[in-house]
Amino acid sequence: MSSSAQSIAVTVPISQNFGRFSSDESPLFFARALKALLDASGLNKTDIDGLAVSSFSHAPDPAIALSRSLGLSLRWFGEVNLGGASGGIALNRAARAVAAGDADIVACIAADTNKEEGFKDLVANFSRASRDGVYPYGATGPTSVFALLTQQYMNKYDVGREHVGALCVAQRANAEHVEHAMFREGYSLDDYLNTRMIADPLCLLDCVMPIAGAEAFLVMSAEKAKSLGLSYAKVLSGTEQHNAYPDDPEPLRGGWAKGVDRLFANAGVTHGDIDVVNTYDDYPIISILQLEELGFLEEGKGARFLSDGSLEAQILLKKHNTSGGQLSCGQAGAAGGFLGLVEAIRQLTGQAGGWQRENARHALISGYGMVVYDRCLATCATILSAEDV
Amino acid sequence: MNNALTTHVPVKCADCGAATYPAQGFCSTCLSENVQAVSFPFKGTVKAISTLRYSLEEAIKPHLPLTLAAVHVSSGTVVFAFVEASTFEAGTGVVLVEKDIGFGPRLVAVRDK
Repeated sequence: MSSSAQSIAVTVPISQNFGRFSSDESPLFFARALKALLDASGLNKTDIDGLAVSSFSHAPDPAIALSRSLGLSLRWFGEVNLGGASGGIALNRAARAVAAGDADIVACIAADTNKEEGFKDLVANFSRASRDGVYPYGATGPTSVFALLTQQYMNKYDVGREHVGALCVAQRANAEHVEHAMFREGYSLDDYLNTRMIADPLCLLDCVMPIAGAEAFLVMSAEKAKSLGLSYAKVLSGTEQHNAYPDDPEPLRGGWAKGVDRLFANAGVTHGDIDVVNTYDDYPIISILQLEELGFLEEGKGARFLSDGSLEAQILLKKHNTSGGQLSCGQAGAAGGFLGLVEAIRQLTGQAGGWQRENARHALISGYGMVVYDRCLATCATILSAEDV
Repeated sequence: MNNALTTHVPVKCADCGAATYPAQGFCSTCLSENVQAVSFPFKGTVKAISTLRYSLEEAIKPHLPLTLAAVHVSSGTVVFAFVEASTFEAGTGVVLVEKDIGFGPRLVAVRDK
């Protein structure tokens, strides 16, 4: 998307953590997130005329049931069930809706509950291919798939756990002051290497904790955000790819590389301008793949580079997943796909409290979602800027 | 847990020759419905292995740890299969057979002699 015609704003970053498990249904979390959006913006429900929702726990409702349960009367509705790619793609859709005049103010909300047996129920029947070809082979959820993916990266590029672990250690350090993080206590690389293995080469610290929670933001014209007195970030560009490389036997390319030139060209910025890079970290190797395909790291050399202790590596790790990512905040289902984007809005609008990065002007956020079989099918990337850039 | 092994085998397209896994009633490449289940044993190449030490299923927990492989069968087609020895490494040629390893029939990769 190009920002030339009309400047689109993303504003009011909301992150809500409702704990490890919840017996509540997800509509309650949509309601809490919507209330938080309204409270923080001073808007009324009647001002919201567009709604984009992402969740794995709508059932037995269809997603549109939320318009009724939340008491919203809408002229635009989008269901973006793309897991870890939900945030960027919900924003792509909502920004186009606002630019086209289909909606004035779109609330984008992702929420999921996490009942005691909820994760098992989700992964056992996540897709036909997963039900038939993955779940019967150990029933680990996506962990076996990503263990084998990680091992393929390690085999291909001669990388070990000590290289991949550096990213995990750095993300946890970033979470130290993050109020909504599930885990804030730092650990060393030795701690990482000695942590219980789940599915080799992945240990417990490589896996995100499923939680109940919600993430949300508003999309409107920059003009509207300004008139409402809201701090906002500007949408400079957004791309997405789906099933980018179906013939690859190794699932080591997601598709970000296909759109990266367009992403930067439409934004009118270069890699050196990016102050915050939030990637989707369901497993650390996926963050490394994103940083490589998006041009922050060289293909196949990312893990070794990040672990070499250089100043360049430390700078990149400090601006990467600034809230500690899902590895620290946990994953509330599809809300995990909003986490990096919401955090980027927080950073660009100076609302990140004790973990605010100084002079954050541009952010790149990428997503990866829907492990239907041996890889995720949806990828996306977004570039935002601060409002006065 | 789905224990119907018929869905655990690739189907091959009689029109274009492409394989699709898990089984479905049409070819992902040319969309022909003229597809047939591949018969055992069939060959593949190990891409990676992982030792699983955790399971969400009570029926599987007593069998842990289990060794799982990603096996490349043909262009774009990868199956997940158990292996009986963790000595397999990337590049090992295997044949895939049907075997009950304690919790139902599964694909098992054995060394291609």
